[in-house]
Order: sequence, then C-alpha cells, then structure tokens
Amino acid sequence: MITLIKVEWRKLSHTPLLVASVMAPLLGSLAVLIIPLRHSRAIWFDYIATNLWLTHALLIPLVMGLVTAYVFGREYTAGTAASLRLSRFTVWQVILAKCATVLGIGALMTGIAVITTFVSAMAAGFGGFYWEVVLRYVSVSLLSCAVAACSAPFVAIVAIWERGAFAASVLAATAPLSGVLLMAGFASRLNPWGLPMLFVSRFLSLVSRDPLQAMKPVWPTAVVSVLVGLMVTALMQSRTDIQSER
Amino acid sequence: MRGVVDSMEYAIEAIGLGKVSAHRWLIRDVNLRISRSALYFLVAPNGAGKTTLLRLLAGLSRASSGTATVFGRQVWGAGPEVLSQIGFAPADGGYYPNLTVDQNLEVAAAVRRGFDRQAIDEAATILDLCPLKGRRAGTLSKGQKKRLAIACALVGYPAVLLLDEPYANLDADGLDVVEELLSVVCARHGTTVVIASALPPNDLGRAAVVGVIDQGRFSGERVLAEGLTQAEVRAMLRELMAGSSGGSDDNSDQG
Repeated sequence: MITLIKVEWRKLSHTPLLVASVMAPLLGSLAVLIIPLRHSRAIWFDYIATNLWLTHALLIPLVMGLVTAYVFGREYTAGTAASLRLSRFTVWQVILAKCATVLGIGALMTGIAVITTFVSAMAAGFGGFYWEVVLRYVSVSLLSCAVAACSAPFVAIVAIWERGAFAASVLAATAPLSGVLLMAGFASRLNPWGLPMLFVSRFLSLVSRDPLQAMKPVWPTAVVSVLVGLMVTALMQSRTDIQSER
Repeated sequence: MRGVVDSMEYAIEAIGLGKVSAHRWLIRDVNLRISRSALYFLVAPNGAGKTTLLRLLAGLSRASSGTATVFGRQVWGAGPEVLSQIGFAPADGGYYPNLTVDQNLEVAAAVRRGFDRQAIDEAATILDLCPLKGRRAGTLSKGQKKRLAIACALVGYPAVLLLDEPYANLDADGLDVVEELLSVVCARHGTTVVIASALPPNDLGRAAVVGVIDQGRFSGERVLAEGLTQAEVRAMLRELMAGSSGGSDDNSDQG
C-alpha cells in the first residue's frame, strides 16, 4: 500500500497539477490578504475568516477534485490502466492509494495555505493575535481538507465511467461552486461538494468557534459519501472493461 | 500460483469466447489453447478483433460468451494472484509520458513484482532502452515508445506476455530487438508469449504457432517450423484464410 502511494506521488511528478497544488494555496492566501488590508483596523480573525471561505472551502476542494480526475482518468488516457489491473495489488488497494494521494495533496495545499497565511498576517501586522485563534484555524483547515476529500470517489466514478479525465475534470471544477449555491439556499446539504463551505460557514457562525461542533451537520453526509463512493468506485474499477470496445 | 503454473499443460485456454459491443459480435466462438512457453502469433487484418481477443485473454474485458482461463483460472474478475502473472503491452500507450524511461520501468516493477533494480535493468537492456533511461517518455519516437511499453509489460518476466501490435512503428533494429526479446523470454524464462499483429511474423528464429482471425471468427492455426521465411509464412496464412472463408458468412450477426 505504501509502495502504491509512493508510485502515485511519482506519477504526479513533472505534471502541471503538482505545480498548481503548490501555487494555488500560496496565491489564494496572498490574494485574500487584500480584503482585510483595506480596513484600517484589520485583525487576524478577519483574514483567517476570508481565507477559510475562499482558499480552504473553495480553491483547495477545486484543485483536489482536479487531481482526483487526473489520477484516476489519466490511467485510461495513457493506456496504463491495464498494468494496474494486472498488478500484484487488489482493486481496493489501488483505489485507496489514489484517494490517499488526493488527501495528501489536500494536506500539502492546506499546509502551504496555513504557513502563507501565518507569515503574511505577521508581516502585515494584523492585531488580535492569539495562539488559540491560529490553532483553531489549523484544525478547521485540516478538517475542511478531509471533508473536501469526501467527494473524491464521485469524481473517480465519472473518470472510470468515461475512461478519461475530461468529464471528471469538468465536474471537479464546477461542483465546488455548489457550496456557494448551498449558502444561498439553492443546494441540498446532502451534496458532498457543498460540505467544505457548509462546515466553514457553520464554524464561523458559532459563538464557541468549536470545530467539532461545526462538524455536526457535515459528518453524516461526509461519511455516507465516502463509503458509498468508494464502494461504487471499487465495483466500477473491477467490473468495467479497461477500454471501450468499438 | 507458481504451483498452479507448473501443473498446467496449457497456459491459456479460450472456450467459445465472444464479445458483443453495440449489438455486434466483435469476436465470436473463439476456441484456443496455447501451451506453456509457446510463442503464439495471432494474425488478423485490421478490425478483425485481435485486440479484443487479447484483452479478453488478459482479463481486461468481460466476455459476452464463453470463458478465458490462464493456467486453469478464469481471468475475468480474478484476483492479483492470477492477474499479476500476465504482462500486457497495448497497441497504444502503456507508459506515463511525464516520467522518464527509467521511472516508467520503476513504476512498472513496483506494481508488478516490487521494486527490483535487476529486473528493471534487464528489461531495459533487452529492449535496448539503456541509452534512453533519462529521457522523458513523451519525448521519445513512436518506435522507442513502443519498446518502452513492451519493457513495462516485461519487467519481472510474467508467466504470460500479451503483446498488441509490437512491430508497429519499429525500424529494422527495433524488429531485431523484439525478435531477441522473444527468444530470451520464451526459451530462457518459459514465458508464454502471444503476439497480435496485422502482419505475419518475420523470418522465424524459433518454432511458433500462428492462429488466424478473420472477421471476428477464429479461422484455424498452424505450427510454424523454425527457419521459415516470411514468404512461406504468408503462403500458409493465405491457405488458412481461404480455408475459413466459407465459414465467415454470418459474421454480421446481431448480438
């Protein structure tokens, strides 16, 4: 399993998506710095709140979705899906290794966003610095990343069904926007792509600012999405022809 | 699995194998038995269904009728203990364009047998890829890419090696490399090799069996003695095709 995860990381090397995974949270966190800077008495929490909305609830899930589409769909377009089917690993191991890679990319992006936010907020000299605020921001951003990963199996299903990455990439690029629709009351809470936005908004609206409390409306959909999504992915991966027949 | 491999007379068996797609039989009623360590050429014109048959034999595609077995075990839906015995080089692709030749071989080795530097170096040497090890696969010529795809399938010497159009895009040196590969893996490692090709094999350096598919149906097979020239092989194939032409009238049957 560890071997497979290493192989997945190696396959991502020299790809634009790995560059995007580094640059997106970096630029995202720096871009949202502009918003609190417009206020004369900007504080840490304002910056963190804006960053949670835009970088962690929108941008990172979007890139994670694109990475998912790539790691699953690329095997078919490169003609390497056969070598995975004929490998010494089970279908479940292959799928879990790919999902772990997506989660790893999400964690990497979260780490970059957190560090960028911390450094840039210190450099900007925002007031209201408390370690507790920073620690909560770190825990919320990591939980947001985990919640975002829950929709990955559904992107994988589309990639396997299509035997390519295009439709899955379109889905991955547009679906996180449903979080915005959810906030506007136009989408269901059962929609896994809206979960990061739901989680972040819940966290910011709570007086207690308790991340676990904010997870309450989110985790049932997240758990069901992962379980159902993974089972369908495994079923499709093992029962679908590697290449469509003429 | 090694015990199973040792005890079976036939490496590959297909019984009544058929595949329907879009209400049309792509191949139908294929009965095939390939002995262990044999070199088997599956010759058919373009679109006759040889890639479909190869994929069915590799367990990459579900048969609409009949069964395909490798060492007595059904391949479709089989676990890694059966499927990891099969190496498959597709007609197109089979490598990661963003990785170097060496990295591609490392990935192939890791998923097939576990990382094994010796196996990687052997595959690279046999396919004459050593000078290209540091090159990105996407920047190689078509013939070099083809050799890389074959090397990825060959890493670790699977018990069964299925090659789809291995001669496509190869120059004279490339053809020699593949011929050498066949003699190495069949004779030295006991690998059963099945080659699907639109063209008959070159002058044979070793005995082989050639099976002919015509419009989705298996026409028959002949043993090719060592040292036959390409002209003699072609004459034999024409004879096989002519013999089967009466039986292919119903190939347009709707599935």
